[in-house]
Amino acid sequence: MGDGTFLVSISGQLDYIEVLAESGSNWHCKYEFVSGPDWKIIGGVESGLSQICTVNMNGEKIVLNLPLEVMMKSTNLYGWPQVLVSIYNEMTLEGYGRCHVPLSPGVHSIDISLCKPLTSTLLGKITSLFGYQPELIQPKMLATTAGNNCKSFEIRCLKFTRKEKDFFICQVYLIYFLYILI
Amino acid sequence: MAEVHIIGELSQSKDFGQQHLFCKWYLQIGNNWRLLSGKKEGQTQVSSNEFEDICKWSYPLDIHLATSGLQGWPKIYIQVFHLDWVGRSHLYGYGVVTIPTHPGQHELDCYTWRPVGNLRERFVQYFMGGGPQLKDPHLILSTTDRYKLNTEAMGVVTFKITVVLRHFSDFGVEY
Repeated sequence: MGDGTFLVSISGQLDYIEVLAESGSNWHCKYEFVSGPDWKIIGGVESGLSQICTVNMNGEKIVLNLPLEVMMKSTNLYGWPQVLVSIYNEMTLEGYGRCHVPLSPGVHSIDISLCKPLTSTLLGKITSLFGYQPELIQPKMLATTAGNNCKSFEIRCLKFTRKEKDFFICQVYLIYFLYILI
Repeated sequence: MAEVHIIGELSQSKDFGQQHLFCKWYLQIGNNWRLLSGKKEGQTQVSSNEFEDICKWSYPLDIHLATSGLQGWPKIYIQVFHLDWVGRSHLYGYGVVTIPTHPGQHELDCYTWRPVGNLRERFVQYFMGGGPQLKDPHLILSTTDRYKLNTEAMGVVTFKITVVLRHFSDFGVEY
């Protein structure tokens, strides 16, 4: 478009969560797209919630197959969209994860590593023995460079990965812009 | 003015032999360069891993720069610290990476090092932690004063970065 606006169309699905899930547990996932100040969503939904998946066998994949589809417009690459996911087992947080939407058009398969916060106080450590799990009030802070001052907050990264097929289609409007991309 | 976008993440560290690591990063740019949006420095969260010698940060980077010359192409220099169980942070590595001049996706490995002291200092460091640190972090970037240093190898910090260049061809810069 003439005024420097470009459109980005993101579509794909959140395929599965690969965690050490025990049989009988129920998992679900929350996702949201986080983007910068210039970005506007012109189609699709910004955030959503998956169904609840029950695990039948220990350690099997938690297949959600949750479709993601969003169309955004912006004038500036700064604040390129990020996907932020939160994984829950019943109502307990099991991990946050984030990734940038790939900048190159095409089909991408992304593994996101998940992290969960640890308690920083002794009292918190004791309560965590009883299943207490700290959560972030604003998980969006993971997608920003802010919040790096909170030294007391630790994240334990587990080897839990999630695979997401990200289908990334460039609109016709974007083609004039493609020379910048690659 | 030509513009550069650096979008990606400070992804992980490995082979540091310790968990509970965090990383401070700083962007170093030349005089011709101007930061349009984004941050020039930052710090990741403290991360640990139960399974392997890898700390995953997945810390987002999004920097928008404008330049009127190629001199002083952006570099990111990092300091890795280990947070011990009493809450002290010890230096675990210095490193620098040059942002690729070629647009596209890149996975950059930053091999880090740290200064070592003499035998007595190393003895103290083994039991008490701590260790020598650089007074002036610009030595991480300097090419001249390195010969005075005695260092040891530490782990590897991985960046996943996409570089996008804009208006460079208008100034006759080929890439």
